[in-house]
Amino acid sequence: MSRSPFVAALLQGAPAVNLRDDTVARAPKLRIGHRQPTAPLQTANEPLTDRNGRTTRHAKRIVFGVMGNDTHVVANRILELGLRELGYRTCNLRTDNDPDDFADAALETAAHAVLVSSLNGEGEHWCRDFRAHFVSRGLDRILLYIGGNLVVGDRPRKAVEAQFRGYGFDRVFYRPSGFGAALDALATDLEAHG
Amino acid sequence: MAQPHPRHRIEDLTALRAQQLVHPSLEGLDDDSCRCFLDGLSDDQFASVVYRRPRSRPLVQPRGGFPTLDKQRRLSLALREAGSDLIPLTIDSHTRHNDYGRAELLLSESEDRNRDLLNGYPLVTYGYEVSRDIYRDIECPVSLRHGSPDARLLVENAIAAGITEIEGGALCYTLPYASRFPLDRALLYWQYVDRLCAEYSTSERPLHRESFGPLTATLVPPMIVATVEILELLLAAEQGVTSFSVSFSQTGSIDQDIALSQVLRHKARQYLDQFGFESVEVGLVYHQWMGAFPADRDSADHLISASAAIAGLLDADKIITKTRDEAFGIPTIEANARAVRQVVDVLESAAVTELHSQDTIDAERELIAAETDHLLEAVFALPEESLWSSVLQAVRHGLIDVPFAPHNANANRLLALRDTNRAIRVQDVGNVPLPRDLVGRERELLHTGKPDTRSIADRLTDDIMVMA
Repeated sequence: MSRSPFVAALLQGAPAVNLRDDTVARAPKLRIGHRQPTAPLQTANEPLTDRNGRTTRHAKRIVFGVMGNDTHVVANRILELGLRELGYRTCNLRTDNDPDDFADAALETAAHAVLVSSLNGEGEHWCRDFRAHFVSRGLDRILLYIGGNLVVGDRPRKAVEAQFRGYGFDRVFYRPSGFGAALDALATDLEAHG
Repeated sequence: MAQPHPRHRIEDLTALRAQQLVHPSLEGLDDDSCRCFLDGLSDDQFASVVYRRPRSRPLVQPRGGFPTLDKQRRLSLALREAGSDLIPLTIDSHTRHNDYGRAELLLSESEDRNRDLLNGYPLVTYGYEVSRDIYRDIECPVSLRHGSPDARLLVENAIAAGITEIEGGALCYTLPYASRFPLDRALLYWQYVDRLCAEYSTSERPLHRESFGPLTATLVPPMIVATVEILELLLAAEQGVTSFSVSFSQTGSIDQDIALSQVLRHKARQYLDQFGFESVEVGLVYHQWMGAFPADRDSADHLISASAAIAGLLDADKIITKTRDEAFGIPTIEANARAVRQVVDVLESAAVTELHSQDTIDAERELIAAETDHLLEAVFALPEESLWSSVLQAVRHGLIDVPFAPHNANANRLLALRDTNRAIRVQDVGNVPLPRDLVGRERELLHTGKPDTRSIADRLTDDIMVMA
């Protein structure tokens, strides 16, 4: 199957309903107190095998979710299934997160990597000093990735990637055509990280 | 154990309405003046009356909403001219989420800069009285299209403006459209809307309600669509609604489309009758492909024509149209009118006669019907005191699970993929209470043919992008 420009659009974040009059708008801001991650947390004390009987003793723990006021969920769900299929332990923060939500989840799960998606261009606003934020929480060794439609409007790929690496991300995937590159890089980097 | 029953009807709507009627958009409105205005409308302006009339093809209705009243009127006139049987009023997303202040701000900026900064018509900002002017001398029903978990104020304005068809429901307008709006509130606020529609209905001219069956339009199994549609139908019937349409969107498989349409019609009637709602009339609405659209405009045209033909084949009561510009955002007035003409042409040139039942369609229908019965029975059997709280618990426990819905209460455990015939099949049933033999049947249908070596992520992407 050929990858049309729409695959890119999808992975950058087709809204849940991808239609002009069904535009998924922002959820009302109902932040009350500290938010619980919606996916069950898998911590280091959980059983050593997954439900298919595969050993997960050495499985790496990955926190991921969508940054900002953004309810684009299709790509997020595909990423969740992709990560699980590869045997990672996942903590999916889903939508509407700020940098603190990512740092909290990384601490709670002792995560090896944090994957941030930003699909409506809010990434630029939220992600300045992202690495510094993690370092201030005592998370200085963690892998940080970001991907998606990272800025509002059209800008040169190289410039956007350099900008976000400047924010402290180890890898930047600007308007990727699929998850392949990110998942391959993740495997390589986790290996190198030990 | 809670079965649908009229005793769950809101008893005193007046007290609840008082909280809405103080809003500036409803200034000057009271029960009598609203009733009087509706009495003055012609039969042709009532969706329920139009549905009852004999016809040779499905009614045609596009979507469409622009920020300014003037442009909305031009759109409405152009769509009517092109042959729309019902005219849409699509609401902007800030109004949908009760952010009326932002809608007002962006409306005034849209007017100042002569650019559309809203993705629909801000009905609450304009208010009902001014909005009546859009439909001056247009003799056809208007349908409210939005996506609001809390549509109380919006629907008050809509009915007072003479809009006789209200789309939406607590599940179909919350799970796919909001991540944090509390589902229990949405259920109660939609009881208000249903009750309000019932109060302004007469037996000859009821206000019509319609549910939004496409949900996320992303690999949603037919059994989930049928379950949600029938629950919303029953919730509306409890509040006294007597004219209702269930709906679904093109699945990608013609067999599945036909089977699902038969299940929806049959089961809707069966459950209404079973719970004593014999007087409720039910229609069936078919949405043209709601997933990712082809960027190539010719391909988009072909998809639109093909799905128009399917709507004829199903003998749907209404088809909701798309445009060749779907991939690029909000269509122009011209593109929208063009799509309406295209669909009317296909429906009239390809007058589809009765389809002879085939084994695959029969098998498909039996499967969806059996699954839907199991899910509905599981919902009715929950230890709750009323249907709305059973529905709430059903979502919270994942008995109803809408794939790719952003809502926090949605389980997101059910996973569906397409089989070799493009039909949507359940790969992982999650917490949805299907008996083992039906889960097995879904698996079997999914795994017929060559083994698939793609990763789950790639398969999902391909299945979602199937038409693009």
